[in-house]
Amino acid sequence: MIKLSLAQYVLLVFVAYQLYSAVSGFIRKKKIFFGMLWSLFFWLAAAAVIIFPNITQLAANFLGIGRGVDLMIYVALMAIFFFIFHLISVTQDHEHKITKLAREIALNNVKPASDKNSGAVIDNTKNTDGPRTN
Amino acid sequence: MPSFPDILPDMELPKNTWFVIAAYNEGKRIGRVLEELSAITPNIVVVDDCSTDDTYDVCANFRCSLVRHPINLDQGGALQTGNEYALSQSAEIIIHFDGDGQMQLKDVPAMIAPIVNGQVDVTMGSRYVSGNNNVPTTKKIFIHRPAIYLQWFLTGLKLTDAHCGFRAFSRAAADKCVIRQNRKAHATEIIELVARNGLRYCEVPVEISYAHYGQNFRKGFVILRDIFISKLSK
Repeated sequence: MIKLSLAQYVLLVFVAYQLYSAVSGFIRKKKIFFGMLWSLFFWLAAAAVIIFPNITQLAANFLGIGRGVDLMIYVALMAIFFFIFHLISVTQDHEHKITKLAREIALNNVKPASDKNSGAVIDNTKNTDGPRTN
Repeated sequence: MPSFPDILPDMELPKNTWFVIAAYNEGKRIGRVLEELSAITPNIVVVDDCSTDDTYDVCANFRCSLVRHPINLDQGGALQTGNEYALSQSAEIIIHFDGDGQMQLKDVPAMIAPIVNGQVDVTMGSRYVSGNNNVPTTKKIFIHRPAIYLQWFLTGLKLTDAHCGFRAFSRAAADKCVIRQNRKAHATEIIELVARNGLRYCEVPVEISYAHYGQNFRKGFVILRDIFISKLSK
């Protein structure tokens, strides 16, 4: 029987929840099969590392990295960079969508040039932010 | 009303030439620009980038088309909106013009002549071509010069000026140069688009008067950040 510490139990509960989310996401058709498979692989690997921490040492030796904990730090750093990159991409994508929407609204409400252009304007779009300079 | 040749005796303004002005909180300055411009052509589109001052109201007093963004997109976003509107109005030449009076109307003929003559697709104003400019020295050394080299590195085009803002496009060129950088990095993006689409271009000496603000160091870093992020997410 393997003896686990409290921290390992807590982490395993978290992993179990992630595994459940992956499968239920697929069942509820929020995730594609390949996505579910990838999540299962990742979280099962995480569970293996939690239960048998020495696996990281074996992997570290295989890769020529001194300690298992160093390998975990490198992997975590890579994961963080990947996550940041993903967030930037998503943010950029949203910005492009908002830009497109704002442009469409603006171009549907153009005040065309006329010789009698005068100052009467109905403006319900003014924001309340402080002045910024273009 | 003065005709175009009276103000600009060198040439006539081609019929479908459109001026695109991106304006944000330019209420105090844009009136003077529009007064001059609207006297020679009604083909002006002012894109009010959700100003918090009376920019829209001031512009509404002049003979120009007015577009108002419901949210602030920044200069690049406003210029692309202006381009799209001008193209929808059958524009053959599109000129990017400032709403703060920094650019001079007298430079317009020289800017559009190479396009009208079919020599190039895009002209870019430069404060350095003639060597006769009033650019502050610190700005020249610490902002413009590094920007020129960075732009050369990123786009492969070595220009004498990086972010003048005074540009003219043929219809085909404006159609190809779709600006996706909403903020100040659009200037570098446009040059990248010119290079990528194999468009013919030339620089034209222009005079820019520095009445108030321009790019500062902080904005320079924002441009760098935007370029870096766009390269990452491509």
